[in-house]
Amino acid sequence: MPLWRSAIYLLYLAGLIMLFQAPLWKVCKRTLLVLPFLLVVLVFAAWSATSPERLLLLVQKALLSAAALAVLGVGTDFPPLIKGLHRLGLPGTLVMMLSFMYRYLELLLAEAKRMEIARNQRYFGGRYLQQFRVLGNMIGNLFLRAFERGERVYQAMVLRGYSAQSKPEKVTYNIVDKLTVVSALGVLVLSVGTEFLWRF
Amino acid sequence: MALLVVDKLSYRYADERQALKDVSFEIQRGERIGLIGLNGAGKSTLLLCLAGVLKPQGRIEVDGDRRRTVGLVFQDPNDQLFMTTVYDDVAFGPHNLGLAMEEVRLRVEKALQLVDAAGFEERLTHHLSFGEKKRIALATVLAMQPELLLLDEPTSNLDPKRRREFLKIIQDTEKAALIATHDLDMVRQICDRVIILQAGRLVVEGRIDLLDDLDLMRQLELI
Repeated sequence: MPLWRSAIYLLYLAGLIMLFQAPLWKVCKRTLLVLPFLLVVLVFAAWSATSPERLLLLVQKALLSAAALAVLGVGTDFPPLIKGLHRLGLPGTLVMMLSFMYRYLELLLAEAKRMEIARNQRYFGGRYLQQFRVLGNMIGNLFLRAFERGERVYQAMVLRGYSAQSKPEKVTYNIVDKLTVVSALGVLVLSVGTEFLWRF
Repeated sequence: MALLVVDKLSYRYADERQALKDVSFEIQRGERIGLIGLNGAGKSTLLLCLAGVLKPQGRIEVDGDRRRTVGLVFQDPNDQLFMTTVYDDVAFGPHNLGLAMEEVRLRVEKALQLVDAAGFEERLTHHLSFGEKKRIALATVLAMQPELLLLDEPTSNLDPKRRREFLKIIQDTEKAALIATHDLDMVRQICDRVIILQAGRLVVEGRIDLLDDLDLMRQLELI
């Protein structure tokens, strides 16, 4: 009986939101980001002869997963999050890539913005066809700049003794962390348990 | 023995552009040297060669393991600072040196103190101001405790106050430094000697009062 279990998970997430005082609207907004994907899946599912129960299950699963991710994202800063992922066994190279994305995304956007301003200062409208060529140049330029920055960053890394195998850093757990893990396991056991009892 | 000996260094980029030609000089321990020259004279290339990023022709001799002895600080701190938090970035080098956790923590603390940024550990790198980034970038190298600092335009884009503070920090480290710059006043203030590059060649080397030889400076188009 999936509704039961969903209710338990939902309650647990609500508890986490209250505990960490995560802004509810932010969690909702991020959860709803999954809607377009869900819609596509539902359209395809409606095509094939999927039973309504399964569809309901699908919707619940998608929304709950997205909500759980949203709670995690809203409640945790990015740096400890990637450290945690490294600790959980995500390869060091991927961890590095994630952290670089976080570090340089803003810089790249700012660079694109500056480029756009520089273009707009000398662009007075019209000649739409030519604009595609300009846009292509800008995108190519942005790519080159990012690429060259990547080279320089890598040089800076090597100069400070970087080699591809870096070990995950030791993470210390405080009492709240431990309680969170234990409660999460508890909820899992509870939900699977109720499902089990229901069947008999 | 000199800390660094450079003998007949030449470097040619992949596009055949000759960036350095027969450059020779020495740096003693604790000595600060201003590296001057017009844009494109080869200053940055020379620093990259000395740091070991580029592989030039000629001889570079360092008293000690080069990667531990020489520390390069890039001109753009956004190239230097690539980790998400200040602590992680300053700890990056010491961590790679294989130091124990506690020692790494100590080094980070000390380096941040040196650059007047004590307590910055948890700050996010991309939220720092430009002046802060410059200082933290220096800290990332100081944390590795090099003997020779290679600084690429350390004062560019700093306001007068930050510039003054930054010069004091460099002086207080009491480490040898090769400083590529257009800031002649800085060279007068904190350097012992100057090296002048012109189109990849070392044309003048000597004491800082060379900078007061106006005829020479005009001839080299440096003023």
